[in-house]
Amino acid sequence: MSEKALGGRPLAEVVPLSQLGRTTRLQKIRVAPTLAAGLVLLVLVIVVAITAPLLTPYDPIEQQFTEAFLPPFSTGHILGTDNFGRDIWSRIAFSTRLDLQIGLLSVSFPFVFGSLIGIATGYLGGTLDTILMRIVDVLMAFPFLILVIAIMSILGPGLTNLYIAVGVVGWIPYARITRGETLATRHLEYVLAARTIGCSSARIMLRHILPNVIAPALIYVFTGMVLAILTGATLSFLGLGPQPPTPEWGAMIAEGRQYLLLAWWMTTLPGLALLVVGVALSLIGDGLAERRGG
Amino acid sequence: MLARNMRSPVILAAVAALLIGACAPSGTQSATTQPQPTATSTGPKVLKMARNAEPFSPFVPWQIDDNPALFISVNVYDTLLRTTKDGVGVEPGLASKWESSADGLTWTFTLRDGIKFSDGSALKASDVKGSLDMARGGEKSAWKDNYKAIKEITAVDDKTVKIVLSQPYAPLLSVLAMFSGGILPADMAKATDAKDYDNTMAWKTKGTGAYYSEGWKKGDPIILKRNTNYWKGTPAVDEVRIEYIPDDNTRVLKLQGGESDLVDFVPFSQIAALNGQSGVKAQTFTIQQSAFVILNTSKPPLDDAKVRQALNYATDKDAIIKTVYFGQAKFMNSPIPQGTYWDKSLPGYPYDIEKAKKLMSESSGKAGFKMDMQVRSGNTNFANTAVILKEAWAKLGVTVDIQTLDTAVVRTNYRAGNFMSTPSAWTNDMNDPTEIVNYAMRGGASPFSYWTRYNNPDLNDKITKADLEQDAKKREAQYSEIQKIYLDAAPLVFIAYLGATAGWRNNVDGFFIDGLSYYRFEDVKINK
Repeated sequence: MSEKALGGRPLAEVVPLSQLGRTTRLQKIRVAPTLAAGLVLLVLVIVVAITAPLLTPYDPIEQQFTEAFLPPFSTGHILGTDNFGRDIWSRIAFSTRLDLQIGLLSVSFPFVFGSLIGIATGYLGGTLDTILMRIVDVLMAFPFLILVIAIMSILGPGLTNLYIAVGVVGWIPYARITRGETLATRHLEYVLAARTIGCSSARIMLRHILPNVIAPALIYVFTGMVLAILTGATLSFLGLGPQPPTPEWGAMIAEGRQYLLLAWWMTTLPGLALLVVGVALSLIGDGLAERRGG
Repeated sequence: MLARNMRSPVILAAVAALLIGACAPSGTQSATTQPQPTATSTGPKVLKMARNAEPFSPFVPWQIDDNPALFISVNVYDTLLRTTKDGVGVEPGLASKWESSADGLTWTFTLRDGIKFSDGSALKASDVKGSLDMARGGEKSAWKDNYKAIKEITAVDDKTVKIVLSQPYAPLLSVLAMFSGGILPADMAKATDAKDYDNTMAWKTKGTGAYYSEGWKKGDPIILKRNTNYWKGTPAVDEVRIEYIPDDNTRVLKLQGGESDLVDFVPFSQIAALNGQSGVKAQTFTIQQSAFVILNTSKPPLDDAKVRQALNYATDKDAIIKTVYFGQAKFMNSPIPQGTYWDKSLPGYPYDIEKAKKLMSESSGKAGFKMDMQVRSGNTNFANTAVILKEAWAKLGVTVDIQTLDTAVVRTNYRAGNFMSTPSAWTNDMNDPTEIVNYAMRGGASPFSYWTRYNNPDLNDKITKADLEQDAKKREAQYSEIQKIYLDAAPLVFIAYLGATAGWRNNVDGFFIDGLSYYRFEDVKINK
């Protein structure tokens, strides 16, 4: 519906909607250095992940026993080598792919599934709400990591099972966030209006409520990714994640631990890589939250 | 609220990333919160030891099947005979002399004069009978098989014990020198077999050994007090205080910092570094231990000896010894560790990739195959070995799928036969090869030739014959043949002979790990 169709009344005193949006966005970007810093870091990490084979001449799993335990800044090995003489930079770079993949994949299913559950229970209410929210309560009562480890020990170690385990537990926060938002939204005029004109419940939930409640869940995705990557690293550390010799930060930290007094770089450098990605994603999450809240 | 919550992951990420490696599970907290008795020149001499594991078996010699418990046992409970320090021979223990009848069926042991238990009561032949009867026939004994040749034990008088065998049994003296034959007062020995026996009671010990314990509970340091009645003379150290520090790095740091006088299981990677520092020493002692990979010979193509031999030849032992064990290990040339009747002339499988490729091309595995290698989580030496083998065996077209699993799961799997390969290690508990040969080479029944499912009836017969042979020379020849047959069949991938490591401060004197990996505190001194 354009303004003309409404009868040609001039809208001089009303700022055009498009313009309002633009100035707001510009203002927010100016006041959100957190978001900018996070994005720059993340782009950097993604570039490393994509160009990993170009950044290093070494195969991350190739063993070179004569070059074991070289410290950082050795000739040919900028970050040194591990106990098998494998290049640490090469392992960290290749691991970036895996860890980003862990972050992305183990968050996407919980995000989609959890958000839909949250909207459905929030909007429909009744018995469905009671049952699903009790399930959520039960799952919430378990410490996240313990539950994931329990599921992993039943399914066995490996990457696919890691996604399943994190997925089974990870949808809960999304369900809770979107349910809360939906509860606040369901009595607003536009929802009532949609109902009045006879929209089906499915249509109302997907077309009217979802776009308005998804933002907080989307922001939580970044927190979820950090948690997923850390969980992946923790499980690798415990031997439940990707199996050796696959390069993965958590596994590298665990492998290096034995040689901590001999070769600090084996543990510290992958730890720093984990730190960078964690900080990048958290900054983005924070930045988005500030934008929304501010 | 939401925005505030968002910040916690940043902190979480930062803290976790930096600390995940450094924060190892360790007992340091409990150790620092407890008051430590400190030895001064005037006070009692306390030896503070940090050890990698704490006991879990009931503390009764014949019920023990874990190293931490048996390491304590040899300090508390004496055996009739003892294994010599090199782990190859047998020397007098509680019995000062012994003789056998001409047919080798009746053995008479004479106890030393004046031996007393830690509470001052005298050792009698009836105590020896009471304990050994429990070891060979007690409900809860874990070592009955070793004693099955014994028909009867009698206490002839207070100082004479007679053992009658149902058939000649060459390893008898070695069995009597094993920790499982530790002597308790007869009534105490009998009580341990009762159904409702409280295992914590066993930690209030009464043995004839150099030390005794007044009680222990899990998580606490084990405190051993010296036995002033000890028959070899009162030990120099008043008290040994053993705490449980599972993390290797923490243990080494405690030694360097002077919080511990003595630590065991120093990582192979740190022996050289420790010896370069003042105030501490570290050493690898030769023990009868071997490291290898178990192959499941019932799973094709591992049922083909050529495949197994090819895997053996394709394994670069020197690379593993250097990379995994930091040079603190030796090439494994025979299926049994370097103890009695070990055949040092056997060739083992020196690294030869061409020979390996040739053997593989003639075998049923020539098209290449995939095999799992189940690794116990937490064992870095096994994990590192697996990583090296994965790359090495890929050259033969073998794809190794490394699976890190909980130790209990790996154990269940290999017992049930649900595995293709798994790295493992063996330590002799007695100085006679009968133990490893019966466990690792005899097929047909549990433990199925070290769970390899290798079963050679001809070899089984030879193993039985070797147990009966009384002539040492002939036995040696029989064991040489047994070793050769098993080596050629290659149900294992033979890798290395390992040592046991320990580190101590310079003021500690006389610490020694013997050939069977025991250590006794009776000869240890602290110079303050």
